[in-house]
Amino acid sequence: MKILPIVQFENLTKIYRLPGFLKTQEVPGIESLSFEIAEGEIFGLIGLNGSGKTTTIRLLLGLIRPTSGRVLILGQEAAKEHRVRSHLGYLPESVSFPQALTPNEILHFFARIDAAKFGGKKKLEKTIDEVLSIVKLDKAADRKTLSFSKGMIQRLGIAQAILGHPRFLVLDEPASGLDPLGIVEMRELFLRLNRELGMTILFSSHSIGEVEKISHRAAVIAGSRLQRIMDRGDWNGGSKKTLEQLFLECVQLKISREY
Amino acid sequence: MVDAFRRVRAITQLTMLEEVRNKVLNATFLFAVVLTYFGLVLTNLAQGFEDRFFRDIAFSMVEFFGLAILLQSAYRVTRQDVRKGSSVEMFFVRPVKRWEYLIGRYFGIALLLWVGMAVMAGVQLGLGAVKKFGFEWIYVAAYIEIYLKLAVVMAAAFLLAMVTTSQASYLISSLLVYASGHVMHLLRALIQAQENAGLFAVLFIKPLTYLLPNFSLYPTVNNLEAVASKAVAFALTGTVFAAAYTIFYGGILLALSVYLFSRSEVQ
Repeated sequence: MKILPIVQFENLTKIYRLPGFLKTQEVPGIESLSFEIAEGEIFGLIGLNGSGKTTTIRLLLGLIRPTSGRVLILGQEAAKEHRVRSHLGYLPESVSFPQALTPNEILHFFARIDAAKFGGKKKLEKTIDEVLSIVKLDKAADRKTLSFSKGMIQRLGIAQAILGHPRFLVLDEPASGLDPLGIVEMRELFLRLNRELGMTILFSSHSIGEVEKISHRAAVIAGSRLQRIMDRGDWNGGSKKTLEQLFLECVQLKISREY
Repeated sequence: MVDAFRRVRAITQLTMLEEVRNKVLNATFLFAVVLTYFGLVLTNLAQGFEDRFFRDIAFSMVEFFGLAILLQSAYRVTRQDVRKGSSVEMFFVRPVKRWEYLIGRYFGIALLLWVGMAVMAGVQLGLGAVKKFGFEWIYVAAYIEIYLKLAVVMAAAFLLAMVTTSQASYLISSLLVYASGHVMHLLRALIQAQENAGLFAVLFIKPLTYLLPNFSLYPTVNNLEAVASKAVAFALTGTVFAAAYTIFYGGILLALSVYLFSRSEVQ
């Protein structure tokens, strides 16, 4: 049986145009990106700083427009078809919330934006209590986020992303700001969401260890281009190499090609 | 459409909640109330015209307060909050259209303005009652016109926030639009009165007087003394006309803002 792709990147290119004094400078964000993510997969994006991971994610979500090519979620472009976004959950790289509001108020607001997903008021309350307890913020549910630590803000970010059990979860550096225990808990949470609810997860990370532990497949992006897509077999099986070694090979190969 | 309305309402309520808890706005409100009170104290300097003196200061404070909160809030919701990693990014990955976001924000600030102005009006009338200054129904028309005028300035501020490159240029241009709106009709009359108006004035200045807001169309608040001598019905006719102008002109500015906002990327 063929597993349908939940995401399709089709020759996607983004060139940033930075206004200069006399002429506009063109900086490639990502170039000619093509790959697919299957439903139910945990897919890791790894790369150096500025390699194009966040650009890829922001193009996928329709937050920025591609220069050419397209990206489809469930066969539709997120930027044009707003209904498809109902199936999405997203955690940005450096998340922030209105400081004068409490987690309860923030989650209520996000739920009301997509009210059809939550049914009645009781179900909504239950769902919010549930996600707050999953991310261990239930005791701080009515405290203003002004007094929150970076880790707590990150956990609230995860709570809003998984609110309403989206089919597809996109996480940009989800471990940033979390302490070691928080990272382990987050990893277990994502594995549970994937196994129990069948959530497809795309996440970017600097931590190759994290990608190695939970991903079914991983893509290496370097110099704004996709270098290689690997699966568990590559880093756990035949090649006898760790994902870190495979990643370094890709990046060094890219650097040696450039110089 | 029902879903769109629900989302706009949710964003309106969120904006209202955020702004009500905004310390800077609360401080601005307190400042305006204190100045209104000082206006009452200073009435002793205007022997024989105490009520008129206090009324002018109080109406100015209502307008000042409204202008201060709308300029701060409009920039925050259209520029400061629309950046990478902000909660706005988390709105846009949900089924929210850009126009729903912007209109929701606009109505949120408009609602805040309405509540803030109602409280300020209460303060004015309360302090006036202490001094036994009379209440005139014409004041209601004046409050409504101040609100309508600020609704136009807010639509202009939304548009200017889209096209300016910094907070300073946004503030300066918004204040210029606000100030010029009060003198545009004079400028137009001056050009019309001059038989030999220069080509520059006819080609550039005159069209500008039609493009910028025209606050002379808000008769009660501009000339309270003259309108007060006439019937309330006269003032209300002017207010209805001002409301129609606000909806038409403010609507165009807001539509332009929505167009530009829909084309922008979250940077």
